[in-house]
Amino acid sequence: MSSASILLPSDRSIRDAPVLTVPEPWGLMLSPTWRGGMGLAVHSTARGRPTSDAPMLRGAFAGTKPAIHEIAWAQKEWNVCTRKLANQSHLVFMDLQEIEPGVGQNQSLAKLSRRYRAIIHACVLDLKEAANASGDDSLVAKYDTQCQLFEITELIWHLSEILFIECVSGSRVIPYLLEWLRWHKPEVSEFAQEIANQLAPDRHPEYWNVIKLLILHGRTEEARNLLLQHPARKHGVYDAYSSMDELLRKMPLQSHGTHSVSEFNLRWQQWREECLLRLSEGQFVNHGHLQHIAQLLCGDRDAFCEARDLCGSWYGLMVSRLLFSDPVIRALDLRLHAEPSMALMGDDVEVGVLDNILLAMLQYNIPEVISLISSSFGNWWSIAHLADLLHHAGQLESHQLEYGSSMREFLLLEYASSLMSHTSLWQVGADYFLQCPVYGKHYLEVYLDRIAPESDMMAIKLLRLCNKSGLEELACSICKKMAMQAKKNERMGSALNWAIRSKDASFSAAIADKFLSQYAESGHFPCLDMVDHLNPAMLINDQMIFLAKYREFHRLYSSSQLKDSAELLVSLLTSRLAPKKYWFMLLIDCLPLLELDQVVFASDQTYELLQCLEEVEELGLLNVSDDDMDDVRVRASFQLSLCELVLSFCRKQLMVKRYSYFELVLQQIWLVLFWTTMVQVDSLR
Amino acid sequence: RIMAASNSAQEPVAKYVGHKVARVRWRPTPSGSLEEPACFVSGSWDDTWNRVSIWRTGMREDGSFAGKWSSLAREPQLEGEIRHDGNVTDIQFVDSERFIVASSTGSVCVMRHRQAPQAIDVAHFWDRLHSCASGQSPVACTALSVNPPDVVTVGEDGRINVLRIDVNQPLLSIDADSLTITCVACVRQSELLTGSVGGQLKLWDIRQPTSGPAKILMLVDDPVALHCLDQHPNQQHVVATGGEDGVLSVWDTRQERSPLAQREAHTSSIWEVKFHPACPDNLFTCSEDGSLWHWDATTRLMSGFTSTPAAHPVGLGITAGSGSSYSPWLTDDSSRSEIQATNLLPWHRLPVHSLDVQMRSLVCGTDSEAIIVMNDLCIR
Repeated sequence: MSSASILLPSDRSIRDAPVLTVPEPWGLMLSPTWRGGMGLAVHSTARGRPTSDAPMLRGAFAGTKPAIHEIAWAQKEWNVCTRKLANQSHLVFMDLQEIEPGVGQNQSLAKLSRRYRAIIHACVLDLKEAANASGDDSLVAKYDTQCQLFEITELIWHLSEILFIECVSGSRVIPYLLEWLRWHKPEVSEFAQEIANQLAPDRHPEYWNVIKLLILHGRTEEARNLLLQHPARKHGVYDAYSSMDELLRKMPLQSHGTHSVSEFNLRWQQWREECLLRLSEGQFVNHGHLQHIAQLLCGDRDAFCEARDLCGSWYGLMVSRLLFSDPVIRALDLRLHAEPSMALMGDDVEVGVLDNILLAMLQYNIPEVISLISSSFGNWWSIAHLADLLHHAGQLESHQLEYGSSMREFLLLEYASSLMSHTSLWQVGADYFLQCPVYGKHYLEVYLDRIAPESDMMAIKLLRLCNKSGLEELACSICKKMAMQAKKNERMGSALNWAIRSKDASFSAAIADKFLSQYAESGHFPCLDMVDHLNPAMLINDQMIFLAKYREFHRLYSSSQLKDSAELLVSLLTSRLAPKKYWFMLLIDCLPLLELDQVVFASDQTYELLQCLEEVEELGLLNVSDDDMDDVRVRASFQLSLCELVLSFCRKQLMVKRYSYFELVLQQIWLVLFWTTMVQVDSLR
Repeated sequence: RIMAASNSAQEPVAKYVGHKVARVRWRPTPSGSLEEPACFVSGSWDDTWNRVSIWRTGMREDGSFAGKWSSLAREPQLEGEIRHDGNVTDIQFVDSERFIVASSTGSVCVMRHRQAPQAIDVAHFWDRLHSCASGQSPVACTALSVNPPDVVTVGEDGRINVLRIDVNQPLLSIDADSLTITCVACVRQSELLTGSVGGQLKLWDIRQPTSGPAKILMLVDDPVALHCLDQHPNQQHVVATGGEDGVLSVWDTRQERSPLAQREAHTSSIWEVKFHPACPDNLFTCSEDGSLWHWDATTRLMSGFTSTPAAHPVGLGITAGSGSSYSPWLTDDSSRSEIQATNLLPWHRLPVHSLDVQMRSLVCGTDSEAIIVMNDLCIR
């Protein structure tokens, strides 16, 4: 079987793009059509273009029909965990859009940013749990990759929150950064807990490492507690351990802005001099680890170099080093320390994407951050939400794109498109589109148009979205689709209802016409429960009005309001509201009224009726041709003449009425006699 | 008076289930029991494959929660699920074990919840109960009502089917409406009430299926589609409906034609309306606009209560009679205190599609793929 291949977009580069083989017997040439977002519709175009081997193929696959293949990618990115993320973050995103700029804006932004982080963190935990619970290896691998990605996202997000939202004023950044380190190295706390619970903590292989890490993260209290448990430490004796304990105890800590910078600086300088003094006195010389710690406290370069494996990353190293060398550094100056810290990690360490992203962030190079994240993450969730947050924090304003709209909108459109490519997330996607002022509405319209409204309920949900977004045309088109569907299913009532909602006058006219022709044929009105309760808003064209009025005539007639019904009937004819093809039907309806003992038509109305009758004949609506001896037609024409007679008699009757009562009675008798004969003739036919 | 605050003592627990939830139903507790329900069924819609799932809340029988007092421990746990063909459009329990599921494919099935091991299986299946006139393509079954041993289903084909569990052919089929029937309730032993897209409520006597509806009640001025209805558990003539325009209407089926009281709270379609089964002075509605309202009419019953000016002049102002037939829902006397309405999910945005309430427990299912459980409702 011949088949064709398609190169799918990849999250990395064109070189490792995955290849999909489409089993298409006609597949000599595939023609793809973009379905928007992450989908293609592919069909073969080889048919009708005979090539050398096409005839053979045609023979082999004579029974098969050319097909349209729907191709979608990145669908597996969506699982219970990521869908939870999408839905939860949608709530935060929408709350964020309602934030008013002004006083306290940054505080509320920071709050929302923390909500985002909580959601990412929950997603990471969910993914870990899902990976543990799943027995499928490929699935586990998938969960693991996603998990890593979101862990990185969380790390980046937290740093952005610090740099772009919390410390915009250029305030002291170290306390925030320490929290950042603590949060993203949770194993330190776990180890500390584990060691503290042991009988002989110092025997634990990580005892000293954990103490050093705690100190490097500024958690001196916890470090002291662990140090306290060392067996070499003696109570009542002032030794190296006590000295270190004192240094750690006295270390000035800056909690978020409690002291002024100068006050803190003074205390910190004093403390540092004390450290240097004790180190130079050689108080810790006999204790290797304490010596190392003391060197760290003094900010010694070599000591930090030794501790680089402990820190695990250049940014960890940077923050810890700054804690002991320049604790009041401002966020803007961090960039000066990034590259030296990287150098300190050693030359053999490869610089990865994450390093570049963090570096760009420290340099406040937001376009670079966005470009790196979008090109390397393979999902739009992270960067779209981050960019939106930064936009609200006023950090994205200067970055206008040369194409399309703003950076924020571009990223939101991409993310929303990826949501729309999923079968079920279109309601979430729609809200994102609506937050894109330039292209959002247009994108939304295109995507919503591709959703097939399978049921009334779905259609109503789509219509609500259209109303909310001001997409009136699309709303009409959805109603029209529903009307067509109902018509196909022979649900004429529903079809009419949807056609009226679609405001498509000609469509509803066509269906109303169908109702009338059905009545003309069978003598029964279809969908009476609906036709009887057409409200004024539904009468959007002449056919609908006629349908409603004609039905009203029947109601009046059957409730014996003869005078009113006659009047209505004549007005339907004279106002030219009734389509010509139904005139004859209306004239037939006059017969029983004419036949009545009481006179229900006024003289001018009778004239009108006669005129209509003549017009019907002139129009040749009831021609009986020789070769078409349709029984119905013959009867019709017979009835017509009958009708004419009766009408003319009636007219006479009315004229006579002016002269003599006696004559009138005679006429009536005559009329009845004539009528009965005609009916007999009719039945003979 | 409308307050936008939670009246539940505990924060609602949201469990994100990874599919949009079309229906949620508490499993009935034994009658007369004062236990809080601990088990519910959900059905999904609009997914690559839809499912019916059974859940257990984190609550133990004595009313406390298993595990820690964290929201994670309070999350409902999945006990079993089964794949379902088409969107789930309605679920109703027959007894504490069996429930009936309606599908957008026009078919209906009886499912059974097995206890050990926890699982759901299909006990009976009716294929294509609802289809277009030529019988070619099936259309959605939109709602069902259970009146053991009979089941009534309605659909987009405007047909009412009366089924008996375990009997293959419908006992009765009525072509009842030229528009989609969206909701149905068995109001008395042989009487049905159906609501349609045309804004009409029709009362049917199934002993005389051919003679047409026994009564038609309708929204007169502006017939918008009705989406859901619920009958007052004690006063059979009181029926509440929710419409596409977000208006809650309360009808007296003994009266002619139009609803007796109408209240606007939602800005879009009401998808489900429920009287509290034990305390029917409490009513709940959920809507496409993302809100879930608790309507509390108990203050109306207290005489001499300080009057508050009405927020919305609503209803047609017909005073109900006194005595046992008095229903706070059927009156609109703004001189006395207004019915209180509270939005239970003020933070929520995407549509809330379904709700069920028993005792002090409420569960609702949303298009944001969450099942939200509230345990400590303030029911008066």
